[in-house]
Amino acid sequence: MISEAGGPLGNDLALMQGIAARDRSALNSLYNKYSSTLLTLCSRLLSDRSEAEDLLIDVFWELWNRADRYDPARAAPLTYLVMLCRSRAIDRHRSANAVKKMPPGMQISVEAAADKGLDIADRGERVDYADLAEQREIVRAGVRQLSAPQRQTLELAFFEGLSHTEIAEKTSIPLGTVKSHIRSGLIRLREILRNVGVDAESTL
Amino acid sequence: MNCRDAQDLIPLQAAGAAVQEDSAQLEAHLQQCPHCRELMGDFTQVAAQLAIAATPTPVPAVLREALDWRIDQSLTQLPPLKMPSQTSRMGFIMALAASIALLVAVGMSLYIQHLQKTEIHGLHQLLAFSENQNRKVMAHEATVVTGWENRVHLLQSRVQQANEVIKMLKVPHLQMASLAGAGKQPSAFGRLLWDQHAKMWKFCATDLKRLQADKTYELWWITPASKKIPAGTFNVDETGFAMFTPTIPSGMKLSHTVTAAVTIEPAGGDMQPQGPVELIGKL
Repeated sequence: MISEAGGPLGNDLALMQGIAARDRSALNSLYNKYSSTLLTLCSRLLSDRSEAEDLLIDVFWELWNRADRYDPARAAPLTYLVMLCRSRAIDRHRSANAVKKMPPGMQISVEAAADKGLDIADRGERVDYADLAEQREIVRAGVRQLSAPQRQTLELAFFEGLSHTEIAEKTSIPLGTVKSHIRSGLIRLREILRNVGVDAESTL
Repeated sequence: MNCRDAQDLIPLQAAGAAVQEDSAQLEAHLQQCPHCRELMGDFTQVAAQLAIAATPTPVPAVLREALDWRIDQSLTQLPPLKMPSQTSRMGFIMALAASIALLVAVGMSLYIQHLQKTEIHGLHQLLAFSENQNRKVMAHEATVVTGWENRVHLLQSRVQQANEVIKMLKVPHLQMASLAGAGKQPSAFGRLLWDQHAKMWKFCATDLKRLQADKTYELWWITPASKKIPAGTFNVDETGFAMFTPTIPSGMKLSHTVTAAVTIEPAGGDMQPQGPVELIGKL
């Protein structure tokens, strides 16, 4: 992955460099931009809201202390943050020795969010960045083009942290079919995003 | 692991669905294979887009305060202390040493005061954060208590209704009629229980939708001559259930009434049915 001089990715990379140089304003900017996206991810991965908020703060705290470890050649900044959230959530699951599931009524699927534009009551600061909002709509449109089984299995894997074995047990879909759905779903999404001109490198 | 197996596994790993053994083998392969490593990065980027697709969650301001406090605490550091120097002349040395010692003492005193102020400020922030957290917990507990109180009230209401139905079932000349869902609520239904001799009547409805505040359900008696007689209005609870004692005009016998129906009318009811029929049944 190559950093660009300008555009959203270039901005994010500059912010990461700023954070590595202990620039608080750079951290604030990245926090303002991505904290709400990451809090959704944390809330999906950990069913307890206060744990999700703790995880969010831990992730940005770790970013502040270890930004010099970030390698732009390996991942764009948001990808790095997303993977860090998932990794730390898995660590918490392991330490708690339990896999927590959200109550059925609270599950908001990517599909539902894409179709219905579900809104959550505003309880705090809310900032919507134009580039991020635009990218969100593009990705949602892409997700809508996946088949229902592809969406379901990707959602269970990515948002609930289930392995393909656990997904097969939960859905009673054969294991091979689960792997096939996840594989084909992600390959399809990659094609769709490339076809609409969304290069993950250039838009993050 | 060869590239073919790795490339089969990469999308699973990127989505977070790979099991631990497979992840470990894949990781070992990626260390050796730059092509697969690049593919892994590509799919990881794609998977990360899923996080963007979900609706963002508003972040409470207190979380920013907590992060700032944590960073502020980590930035507090002790400066190095300077040792006084010495000269060859004893008197000058003694005076100089005393002056320096005095300066050091004053400096340390001032520094300690600064540390205390910083610590107090930090404690204030921590206290504010803790108080915020306590308020959130108490608000949540109050909500839970209110919820349970509401449930108890609902259950008490249900017990009372059940007792009324039991009372009806004991009457010697009990008659019953069913009203089926019509129109837009096919799954709703109603039951009419009555004993003309004992002058007891009760109407129950189930699975009806709750109405807006300006609307109400109204029960009607329909005579063989198609005359519509109002029998009372009712509203259902959050489960779609209602029970009430309908109005029977003096001298009217339910067995002489052909049909009972429920319609939606303006709040307070109407003298003649205007709205859509939701339940209907023959007596």
